Amino acid sequence: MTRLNERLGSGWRRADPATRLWWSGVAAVGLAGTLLIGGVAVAGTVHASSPSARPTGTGSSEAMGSGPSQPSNGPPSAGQGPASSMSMPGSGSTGAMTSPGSSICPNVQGATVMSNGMVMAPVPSTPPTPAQQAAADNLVASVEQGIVQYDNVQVAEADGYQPLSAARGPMTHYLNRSVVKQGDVLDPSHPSALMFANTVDGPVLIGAMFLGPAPCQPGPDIGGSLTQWHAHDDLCTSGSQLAGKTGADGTCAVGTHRDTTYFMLHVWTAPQLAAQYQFEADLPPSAYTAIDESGPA
Amino acid sequence: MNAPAPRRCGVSPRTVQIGLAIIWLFDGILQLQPKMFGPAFADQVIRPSASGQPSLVAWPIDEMARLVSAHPAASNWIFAAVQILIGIGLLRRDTVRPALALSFVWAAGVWCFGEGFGMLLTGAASPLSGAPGAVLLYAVIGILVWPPRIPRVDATQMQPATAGGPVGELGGRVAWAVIWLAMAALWLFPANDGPDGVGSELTSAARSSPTWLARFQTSLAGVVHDHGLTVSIALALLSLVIGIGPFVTRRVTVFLIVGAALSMDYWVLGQSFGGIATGIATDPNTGPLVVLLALAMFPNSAPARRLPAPEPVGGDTPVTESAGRDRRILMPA
Repeated sequence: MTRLNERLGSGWRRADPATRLWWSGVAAVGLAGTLLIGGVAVAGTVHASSPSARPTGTGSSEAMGSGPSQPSNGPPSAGQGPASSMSMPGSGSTGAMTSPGSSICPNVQGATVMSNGMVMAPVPSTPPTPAQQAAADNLVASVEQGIVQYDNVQVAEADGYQPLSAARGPMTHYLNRSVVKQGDVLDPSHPSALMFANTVDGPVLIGAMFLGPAPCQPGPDIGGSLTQWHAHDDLCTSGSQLAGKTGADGTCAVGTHRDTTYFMLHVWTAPQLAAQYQFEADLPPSAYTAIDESGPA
Repeated sequence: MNAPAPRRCGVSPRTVQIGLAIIWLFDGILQLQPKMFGPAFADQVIRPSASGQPSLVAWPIDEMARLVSAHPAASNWIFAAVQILIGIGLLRRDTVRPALALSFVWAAGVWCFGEGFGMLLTGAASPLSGAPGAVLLYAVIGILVWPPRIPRVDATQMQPATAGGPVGELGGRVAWAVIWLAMAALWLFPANDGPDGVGSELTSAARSSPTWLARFQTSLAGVVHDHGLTVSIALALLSLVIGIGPFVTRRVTVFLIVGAALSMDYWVLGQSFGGIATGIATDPNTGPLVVLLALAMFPNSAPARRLPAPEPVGGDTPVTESAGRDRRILMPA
């Protein structure tokens, strides 16, 4: 050890100022990195011991978008308006109905809260009429035609659609905040958000999402029971990022807060999805398999 | 009295080190792009590498992303500083060795956490998109041109830059072969040898390309549509030939040039110039690195002259002994 110190000291004395500066830079960066990692580790420990902390596993189920650390992002929350927090769970299924009525948006009479945190806007219980079916078909056709311009994700980004989460998990929402602000609820050429599947071949446009005009306000009824609007009330957000879902006790982790989203309506346009899930509120992970395997339609 | 040494007219180890330094500095500059100081670095650069990975691989990537997400700006400053320090260190002779050593550690970390082991474990890695990973090549080239404490090669000998490194000229050829054989194998992965494997790669690359290039990539994707298997097999065979060629013939140059040219094709068509215009590129991807590797192995053009008689054993200066085409390195006693 003493010999090493001597060698280091000797080397330092022989080094020119530029070399000393370089070594100082390396040491400084190393120290900064250590402090950063240490700080985050300590913060993580504190976070984990907090009563409201939620599990943050990274298993394969989360990779499919069902876990708290692998959220996909979605529309604005009701609590913060269009320009603030964005959230959308990737629960993978619509969930079972648990209770009629919602205390989140009491103004929406007849809404239903599902076990997976979705708030379903009321729709007629009767089968869709021919007119409703035609209106739904028309919406799909116009959306397909309207969003084809955004087949390239770069074009979408250039037009203001911003990814709300990592390109991880099966799908990412790209939200256009200016469209949301304008409140043009059903513009098929400029929907509030676009959904891109994250495939091995890169992002693949698979559909559009419309947001209601304001918090706790579903959009217009288009196709009756075919086009049911929904919101989410079990999401935790931090700033404009989704931090995950609430824990079993309904609380969020330290530094995040619970939000309810705007009401939304999905229109899945990818042929692999459209036949089975045309307006589905959320897709099971298995639905994305067809996209991954076949790529862009 | 010794005759003046002929001027070395090829690529020296120092030239390769400087080339490597420039690329590291370029990486550092890319790291300073505005988007990298926000969530994009963690969300769009690091986390996607975990996609499709085994959970054991995905976990550290996710943790790294979490670390960066917690302090994106501070993390990014550190990332940039390390790469710039490596670049500066390589530019200065006094600090080449520690800079290379630092680069090996950094490259290993980036390959694991930033590139997800070149996505090799996902089954979706493609040479066209840069597999087995640019940062791996940084380390390989760094090893090949690591400056020995005692020169192993007579400076008058017209040998490749790799000849003076710790693994010598043969080590360079082995590295070249391993890389190209790996690429050959990757071309036969199910994700690449499907009917539209190559076409999908090109279409995907077009998303991060300027319009003029995207148009060309899309057209080319149309041309190779449904011929993916044929293209994959052809490229696998070509990669195989490029890899083993330097071992079976003396005309190494041909294989180096073809390999470099093919890599540049990948770089333009499949990597869209490393996506450096996207605002979230972290390196120029593999094309320039393969070219640098080829340069490091490039035999210098001047003919070797007859060497003076070897110095007595035990002398300070190591020499090479030339016996026809077979040159053996004589290490000092």
